[in-house]
Amino acid sequence: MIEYSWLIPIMPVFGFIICLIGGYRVRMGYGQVAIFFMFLSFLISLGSFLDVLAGKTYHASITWAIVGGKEIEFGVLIDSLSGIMVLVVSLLILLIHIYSMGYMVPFIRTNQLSRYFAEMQLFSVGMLGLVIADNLLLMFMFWEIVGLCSYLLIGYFYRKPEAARAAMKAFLVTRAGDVMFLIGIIVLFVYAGTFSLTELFELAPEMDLTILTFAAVMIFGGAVGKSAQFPLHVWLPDAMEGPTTVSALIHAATMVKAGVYLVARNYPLFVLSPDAMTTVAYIGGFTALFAASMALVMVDIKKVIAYSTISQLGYMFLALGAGSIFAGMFHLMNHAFFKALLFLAAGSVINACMTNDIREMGGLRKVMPVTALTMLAGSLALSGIPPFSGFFSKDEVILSAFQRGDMVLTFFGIAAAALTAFYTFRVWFMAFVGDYRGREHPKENPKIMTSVLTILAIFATITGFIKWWFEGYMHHFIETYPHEVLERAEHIGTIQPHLIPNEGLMVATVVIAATSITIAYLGYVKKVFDPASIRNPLRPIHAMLYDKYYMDYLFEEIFGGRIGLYWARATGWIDKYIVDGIVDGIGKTTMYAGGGLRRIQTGNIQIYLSIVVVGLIAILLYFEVV
Amino acid sequence: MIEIVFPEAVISLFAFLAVFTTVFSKEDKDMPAYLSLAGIILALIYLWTLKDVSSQFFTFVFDYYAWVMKLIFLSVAFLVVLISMNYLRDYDDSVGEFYALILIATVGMMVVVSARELITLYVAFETASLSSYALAAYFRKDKMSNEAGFKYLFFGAFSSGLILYGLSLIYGLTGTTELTAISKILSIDNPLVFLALGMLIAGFGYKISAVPFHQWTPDVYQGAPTSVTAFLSAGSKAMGLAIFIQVFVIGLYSANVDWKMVIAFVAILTMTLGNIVALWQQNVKRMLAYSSIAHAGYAMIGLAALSPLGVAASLFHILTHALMKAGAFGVLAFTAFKGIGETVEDLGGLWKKAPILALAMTIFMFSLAGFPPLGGFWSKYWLFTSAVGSGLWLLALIGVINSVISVFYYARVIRAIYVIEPPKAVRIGQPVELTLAVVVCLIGVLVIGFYPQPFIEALLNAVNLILP
Repeated sequence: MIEYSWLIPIMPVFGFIICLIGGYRVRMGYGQVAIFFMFLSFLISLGSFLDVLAGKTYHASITWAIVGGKEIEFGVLIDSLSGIMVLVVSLLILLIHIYSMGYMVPFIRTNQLSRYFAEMQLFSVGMLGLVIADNLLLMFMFWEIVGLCSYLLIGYFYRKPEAARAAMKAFLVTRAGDVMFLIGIIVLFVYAGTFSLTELFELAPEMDLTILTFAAVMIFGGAVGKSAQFPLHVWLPDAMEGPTTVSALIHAATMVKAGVYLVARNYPLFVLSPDAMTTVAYIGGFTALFAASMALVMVDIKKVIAYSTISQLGYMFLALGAGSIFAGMFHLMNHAFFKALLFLAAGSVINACMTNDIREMGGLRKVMPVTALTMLAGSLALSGIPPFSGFFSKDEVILSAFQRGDMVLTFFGIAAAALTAFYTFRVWFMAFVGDYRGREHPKENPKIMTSVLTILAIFATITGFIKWWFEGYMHHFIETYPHEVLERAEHIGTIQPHLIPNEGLMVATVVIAATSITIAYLGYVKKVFDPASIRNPLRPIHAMLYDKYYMDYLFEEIFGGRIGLYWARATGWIDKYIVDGIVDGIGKTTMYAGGGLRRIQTGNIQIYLSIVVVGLIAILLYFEVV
Repeated sequence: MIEIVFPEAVISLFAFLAVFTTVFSKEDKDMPAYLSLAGIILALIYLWTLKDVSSQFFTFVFDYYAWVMKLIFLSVAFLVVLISMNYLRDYDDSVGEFYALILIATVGMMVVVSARELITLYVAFETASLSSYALAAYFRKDKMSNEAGFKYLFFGAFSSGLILYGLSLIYGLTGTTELTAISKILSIDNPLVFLALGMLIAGFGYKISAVPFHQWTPDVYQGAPTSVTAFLSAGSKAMGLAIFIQVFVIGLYSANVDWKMVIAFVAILTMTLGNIVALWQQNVKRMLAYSSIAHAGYAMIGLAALSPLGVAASLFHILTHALMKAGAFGVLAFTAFKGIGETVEDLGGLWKKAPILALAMTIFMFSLAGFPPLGGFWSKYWLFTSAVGSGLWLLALIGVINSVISVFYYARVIRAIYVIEPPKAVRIGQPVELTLAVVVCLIGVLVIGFYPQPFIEALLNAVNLILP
């Protein structure tokens, strides 16, 4: 089946076209079409993965353009890394498509569902293509498609101004990362002469270390934007304005993982540069703790999960930077399932209560038993309580930092784990235990939604146990790297192929997580202490966390806000009034009806021409100086 | 030998015929257009058979470079005539001269790329320019059109003076008007060379609207009839860059050390100012005018890189930019013509009113912003790569940053098309000829985007011919 793997991203293309063409007229039926094509994609992914398990890899490409003797090839690369990634991604896309059939029903009247499914299908094209692409340029193209769909889907409820604003913010902030990614690609192409991943890995050891570090850090810059790492994390919480299914699929399970995957995919480039690895690890570790602290105080259930996502993505980068691709990828996969589960469960709750505010929930355990149980499984996994999946992978992440001997990174990991357990259960207790505080009459959601929740809950419970198998699998994968890369990486100590289990560390993290849960239990269920009473003396800190460390203000000041505005206005003003002359352009002319012709004043043109002369003199002066 | 001038001859003949029809009937608005289209198609067909010809007829040189560029100019003329047809049908005076002027301007452009010597070059350049001044002012009763034509003429005259002065200095220094001979004789020891270089950069900079010689652009683009704007943006600007490349790359290559940096600097100014000012425009025509300025800056990156790939990328940019802008102004011609308006707000809900044109506009905006895999992505990609390849890091970096800034205002147009709810959204008939032209541009952008190979290869071959 592996030789048909190029069909994986092609399948949703059909779904996209059908939904797009047929759309806008008929309202229903497109979900089934989309699910059908995604199911085909999933089957091919599964078949390809089985072939990978049997020891096959697949690499095929076609020449797209030859420029100046350098070929630009496009192709498919299925190896251990992309094989398992494409399987996980296609499975999650399929499940969330199915869930959407139930979740999006209330929105049929106001918005055409075909648009939703068309955009979801286009997203699937981009995401699956990104995973199996065999070169950086192709990856970048799919990367952009994915970003575009993210923009479209965040702004799905385009009549809501917050949604339109959030969509634009996400689009622009991630573009900043994309630019760095593109610069990295260009640098690599200029110095190595190829985009092909496999060729780059072969050539990497011969490249100048400074150039390589620069390129790697630039590529990581792309990942920082897409995976919402500090300081480009500001778009993800706002992105929760999109439908919850979109949050689950794009902003938890798949697209935000693209950044992690990008680093993992280019791992041979990173491991050659200790500086690049350190950058990845520290940005990741810091983000893990930083985002977790903000999740403590949010009252919007989706925002809590969003900050949690940022934090968990930080864990993955932490592991990759610490030298363990196994820990990073393992956490990526586990997180994909349990975070999708948490989002979909939150969606189920939101659907029932018609609010995002956890202060207006409570006691939902009784009326929504399936949602409560499945969300509990997800919460336990996120908190890292054995035997749920998050326990295994988070343990490995912290272990990788610890084994590297970096106590700062280890501290980031453990401290974030403590906060994670607390905020996760704060939400669960507030929503599902106690008395209902809202006004609606919540009831359990339709089967199509709860069955997807159940499937995901099973995954969240058991996927941790593949650890021993997966460790061997990834170890085997690392050995396929070019010999020279491996030797050099082991020599400079950037890579940790084996993680030696450390029982003490494991017990410590579990105890810390359990303590955090207990504190949340005492505060929010038993009311042994009143969380509000603690909040009061700590008001400045609470305000700082609630206002996201004021980062949004800072960004708005610089980019969207006053400083940027003044700057752009000043430039605009200069061009309008000084360059365009005192009488501004024709645009205004029409407003003063009748006076149009008289406005052709020679004064205006004299100013224009004097500018030309000044420019000319400037050029001549330059020549004079040189 | 003489057959190499036939395409120009055919176009000139049909230009005459187009005017001639108005003698019999001023009412028939379509006849001159059909004649023009026929002439362009005949010329295209004949040109196609000349593909591998390399020959000379007096000072008129025909080679692969000229062939490629003429194809571009003829295609632009074809699209502009199509876009103009619906627009001009309601014009209350004769329209034969309009089409004739477009054809004559096209002849000028075609001769420019066949000229390898200063006199021919200048005469052809002026032929194209003078026709376009008249075109900008073609709507005699419209004040904006008048003002546009007047400003354009005034500036054009000034820049012609600069160019002529620069060229005569070069002639004085070298005693020849042959570009290849000039490049051998010219030495940079004489300070007068710099004066000449400065004059030429300013003069040609005007034509491609490089900062600080750009001020005419927004006014003229906004005031001229929209189909003329399409012609100016797609055709005239392409010609300006071609003549820039011919004079500087063929003739002044030996003095390149200095002018390269000036052009890099002008490119930075042009990109940055164009993009930043575009952010604040409400009128889409004016916004696209500033976007045109910014794109002139991108195109100059390749010239500053001065490598085969760089110059080829500049020409590639001409091609994609011509398609994107012809298409985008085509859509605006539609909205102006149907009374929808030209501001961002006016485009609200366009997808309900005219779905095909709205989709096309969306793709043009994405392509202008440089989204892969559309035509605009590749031109920027190769331009930036060539800059890095020539060691101009800063230039490439500023280019990339600029293309990020540009996303803001292109996104505004897209957002308006789909998000803003118009007061009433009724389906409006999309005129056949105009829609055809826009769709051709759209297909061009997509084909170049998905399969850029033959295009960049052809241009690389062409550039290798003219690079010393």
